[in-house]
Order: sequence, then structure tokens, then C-alpha cells
Amino acid sequence: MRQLGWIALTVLCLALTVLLVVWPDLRELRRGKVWTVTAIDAASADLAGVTVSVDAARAMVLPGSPDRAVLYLRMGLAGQPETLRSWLACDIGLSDGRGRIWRPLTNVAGLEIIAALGDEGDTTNNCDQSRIMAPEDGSPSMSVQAFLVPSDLLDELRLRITGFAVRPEALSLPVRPVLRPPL
Amino acid sequence: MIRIAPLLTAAAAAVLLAGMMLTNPDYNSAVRPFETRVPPGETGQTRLIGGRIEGWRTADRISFPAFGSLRQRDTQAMFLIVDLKLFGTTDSTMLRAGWIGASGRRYDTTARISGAFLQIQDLWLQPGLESKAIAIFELPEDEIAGGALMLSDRIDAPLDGRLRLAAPVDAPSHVDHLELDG
Repeated sequence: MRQLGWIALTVLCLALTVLLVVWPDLRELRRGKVWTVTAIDAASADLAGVTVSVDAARAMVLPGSPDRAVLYLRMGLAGQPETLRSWLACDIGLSDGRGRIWRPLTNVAGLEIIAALGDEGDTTNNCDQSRIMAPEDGSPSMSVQAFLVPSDLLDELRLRITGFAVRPEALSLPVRPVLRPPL
Repeated sequence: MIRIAPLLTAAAAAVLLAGMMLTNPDYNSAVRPFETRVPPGETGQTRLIGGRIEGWRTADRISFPAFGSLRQRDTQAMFLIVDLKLFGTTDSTMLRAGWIGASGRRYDTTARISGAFLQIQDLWLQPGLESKAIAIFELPEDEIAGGALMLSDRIDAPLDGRLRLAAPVDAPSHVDHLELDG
């Protein structure tokens, strides 16, 4: 009986040691991914003190490749500048019901999509630039993004947004793009 | 006999411990990406990347348009051009390709053909969309046969997936001069 006690104590110490060692990794894993997505059906919602809004979304099916579409998204982030800066970085993408994520294009093609589907005088800021350069009065700071997505998912896609320091929480808003005829 | 048993137990424990310490992998080995090996001509898939080799060619010289003029690149080795069909799976991914030569050496895609269309290092793979791409390498001729193409996320993140596509069984077609679109 006494030996069993020692064995139990050893196992307990081992478990505690393992927990102590993996604890920082578990915290890093929790922060490194989106685990909890709050889905809202309105065009704007709050996340960690910041109001996120989808201002405009337009899509165009590519004439030569009808299976794919380009999507333009203008969104706003409103909140206190310190709160926006505390996000550290934007983590945004379009998601579908299967959990797949399409990230904004940050290449020349992305700029061309924004030029083709955006408005005259649009901002050229991306999410992170709008976050860092937010107005002091707390009014929305706009940004534009371009995506390449499967055309059959246009009605299904939602904006998933969070910040590096806000994860594992994230917000999901409907995009509802207006379809534009091919240029 | 009673005294020998604990000694043997301690010795066995010491041997086991030494064995564990000697075979304990270093950090980089322990967290290296998982490799998915794909036989010639077949399609493979990892968490982020799916695809197959559609064909392969070699050339001594490549020309391509860039910035409004025709560029030409010669090599003292051989250009290997691998034609690929790829598809994204779960998340938009920028890719990195390498050729594992017959000797085991790894060659990165050449940067000397910058500007030609469809190069894999310029491709942004999107979930649910198929894309054609080419990977161009500059390497010794004896590294081509028996080699394999390694595809990974550009960051090649720890504990993620790599796709190792075996070279086609047939020998690559050869042209002296290959013209690519820009």
C-alpha cells in the first residue's frame, strides 16, 4: 500500500511537471489560432472594443475562367486609436461554411482588382494601415481588400476578422457582394 | 541473487536512459514538417497544398519577355522545367518549391527567369481553385533523373505539411531553346 502511494506521488509529480512545461506552449497555441468565431448577420459588430463594418463588397466573375471571381471589399474599423493599435495586426479573410479561408491579395493583381471594382477616391489602405492610422475622434477608418475566390461561393462567403492580440476570438460578418458584369 | 536483481534493474534503467538520450531528436528535427510522398503521376495533398506533376522538360537556354524586352538566360548546367497542376485546400497559400536531386541535394527555384508567367514562386494558391504553374530549376544534369519535387508553404512552418512529388517515370523532353510567356 505504501509503495502504491509512492507510485501515485511520482505520477502526480510527472503530470505536474508536464503541465508546467507545456503551459506556455498551450497559451501560445491558444493565441496563435482562431478558436471562437462569433457570427453576426448585421453589417457591423463589435470585437474587443472595435466596431467592424462591411461598407461595400463587389464581385466580378472572370470572363476567361467562370469558376473564379474577384471580390472587392471595403470595410471600416472604428474605435479608440490605442485599442486599434493593441490588436498588433489584422488577421482577416473570407470564410465559407467548410472553414476554408481566402486571404487578401497583396500583389499587383490585388491592386488591379481594387482599381477595377473600387470607387473613385477610395482609400488605398489595407486593414493594418487603417488600424494604425485610425482617426483620433473614433470615426471609422476605412480599408480596401481584394480576393480571388470560387465563383459558386460568392453568396456564402463571410468576412472573418480578428487581431493577433485578440485571438482566439474572431468576428464573422456577411459580405453579400454586388455582382458586376465582366469588364 | 537478491543483491544482483536491483543492480540489473539499475543497469537496465541506465542503458534505457542512455539510449533515450542518444536518440533524442534535436528541436528542428522534432518539429520539422510532415512529408507526404507521392508516387510518379499521382496527386497528393497536405493541409494546405494539393497537386501533381503534369510533365517535365529540360532546356539549355530560356528566353522570356520582361519589362518590354526579350531576356535570354543560358546555363552551364541544365534548366529543368516542371509543369504542375495545383489546388488550394484550406487557406490561401504562397508556395516554395525545391528539387531534391538524385544525390539528395536540394535546389531552390531559379531567380534568373524572373518575369516569366506562371512561376510557382509568384502563385497564390486559393482554396477550391485549380492553378497551373511551372517550377524552373538550374541544376547539374545528373541530378534530374531519380529526383523529386518538394512543395511547401513559403514559411515551411514547423509541424505543417510538405508534398514530395516523385519525378515522372519517362525521361524529360529536351529542347535547346525554350521560349516562355511573360
